[in-house]
Amino acid sequence: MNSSVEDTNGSANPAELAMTDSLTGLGNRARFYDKMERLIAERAEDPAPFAIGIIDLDGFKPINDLFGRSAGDDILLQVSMRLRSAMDEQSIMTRVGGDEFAFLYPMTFREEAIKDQAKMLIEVLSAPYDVGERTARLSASVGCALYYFNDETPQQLVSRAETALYHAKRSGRGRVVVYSQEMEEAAKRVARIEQALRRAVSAGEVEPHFQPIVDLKTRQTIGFECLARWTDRDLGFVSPAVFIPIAEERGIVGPMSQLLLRKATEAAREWPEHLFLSFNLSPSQLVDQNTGLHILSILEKTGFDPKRLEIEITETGVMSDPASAEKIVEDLRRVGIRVSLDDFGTGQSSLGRLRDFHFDKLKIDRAFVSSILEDRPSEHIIRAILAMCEGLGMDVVAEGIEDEKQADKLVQFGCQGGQGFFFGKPVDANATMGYLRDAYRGALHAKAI
Amino acid sequence: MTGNNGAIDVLIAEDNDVNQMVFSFIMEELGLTFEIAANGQEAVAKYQQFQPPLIVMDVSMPVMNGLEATQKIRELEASSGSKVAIIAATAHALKGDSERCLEAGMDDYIAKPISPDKLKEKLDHWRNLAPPAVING
Repeated sequence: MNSSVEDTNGSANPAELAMTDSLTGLGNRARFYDKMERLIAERAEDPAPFAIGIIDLDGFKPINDLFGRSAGDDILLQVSMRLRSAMDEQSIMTRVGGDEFAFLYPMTFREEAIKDQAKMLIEVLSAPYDVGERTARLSASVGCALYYFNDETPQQLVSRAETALYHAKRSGRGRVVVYSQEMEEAAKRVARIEQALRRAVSAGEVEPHFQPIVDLKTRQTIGFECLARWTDRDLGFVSPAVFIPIAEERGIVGPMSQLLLRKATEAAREWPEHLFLSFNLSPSQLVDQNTGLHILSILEKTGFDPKRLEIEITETGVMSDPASAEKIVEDLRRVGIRVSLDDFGTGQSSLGRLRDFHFDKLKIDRAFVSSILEDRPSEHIIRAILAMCEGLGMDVVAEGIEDEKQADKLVQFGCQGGQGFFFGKPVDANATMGYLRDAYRGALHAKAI
Repeated sequence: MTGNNGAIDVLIAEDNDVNQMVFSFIMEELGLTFEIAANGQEAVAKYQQFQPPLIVMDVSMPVMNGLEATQKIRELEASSGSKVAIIAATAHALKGDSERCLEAGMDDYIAKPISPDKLKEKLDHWRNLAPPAVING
């Protein structure tokens, strides 16, 4: 069996070179497939299981951006050397993508065994790296698959490892996941939802629902937040907690968002003019410089006043590419669209960000609101946020208000805006019109008395 | 016949080094006692020596293949009156190998490469079905 250390200096055999990664000297993708094919062929008469895995470096891109390309290459070299020395004679390590490595263990037959081996690799990679005078840290996720089926091709095996890798990355950094049949089922379910969602978006079947935002003191509605709702003709009601992440991952969020904004602004046009519409932008939209243009062209088409529109973004959304997000936020604010920071206080809340970005409004996460009556820390945090917003000239809305006592407490602290089931659940455009008509009649009625 | 009745849980007949390791790992993990025979002839001898309730038999082996070994064991059984469950391990389950195994007197078959889950399933099934040890004179 071949050793993992390939001789790249001596014989410049063209076939050999074609299977070698020029940066690290490890085998490349072609080599990885070649090894799998060979192993399967070698064992054709008496097939035995073997294990493969794909390693993805978590957080390599930011390091590359921060320290520069050549420092990035240097880290990749260090990574390769560590991985290479962690392999035994029979197994091989290859580099199959920018920051992706793949390995093959011919003598690993069980799930537990490959898991242990992959964990060892992650540990080896987690030690600090020298970058000039500084050090950097990396973590890695690994997806593994075992060759258990005679009729399986290397391509199928790799796609299983990729499925496992996807699960590993989703469950957090530094994880190992071995492919299982259930993942296939989950992947099929996601694929079904993705397909149905694509159809629904192009057929215009994702609907905006609207949840009232009120002035806490007067309890008058001041605006509505638009929330996506989808009932598929085949799948039935699909929770936004399910379809929004899928839309985000599979690149459907852009078209879906445009559909929603168009429908939402068409509905909001009919509302009394003092009411605003609040609309969420997702993380992937904040790295797309066309987002601002899309929004403006929709407003132009539907004739909705930009000054009545508020865009909500989250800190996670800003984080992946702050420069891009900042530019989009500036563009939006220039035409009079207000921008608010959503879910404040639970993510990676950075006060520096509040200084760099100009937010018009801040929304206090429901986590603080729900415990405002029970614990002192939540109370203090809310009061501190309110004081900070006053100083920075930002409006505030407290999210997730579920009862009168919470609302009263927030008024007492000087919080202006509120949102939550206590004031109203999200309902569709028609029901929202009904709600407004009732509120208007109620107001007339109150005047008449 | 030696009186070693029930000394091991499973007899594995397998000539390939790698697959011997695969079987060993899985057996250890399942906590089963086992013996390995490297060809059909050895399998027949160890069958007589250990009287296992269950045999996993590779089909293609040197000296004597799994089909021949099975026929030999079935002949020996005819005189003793006992019955061992034999699971064929075959690389070509899809290409008619399975039918040949059953014709040769095997009870079941499992496709290679062997996965722990598949093997465990088969072993559980046949161990539960295995008749109580026949007391013979």
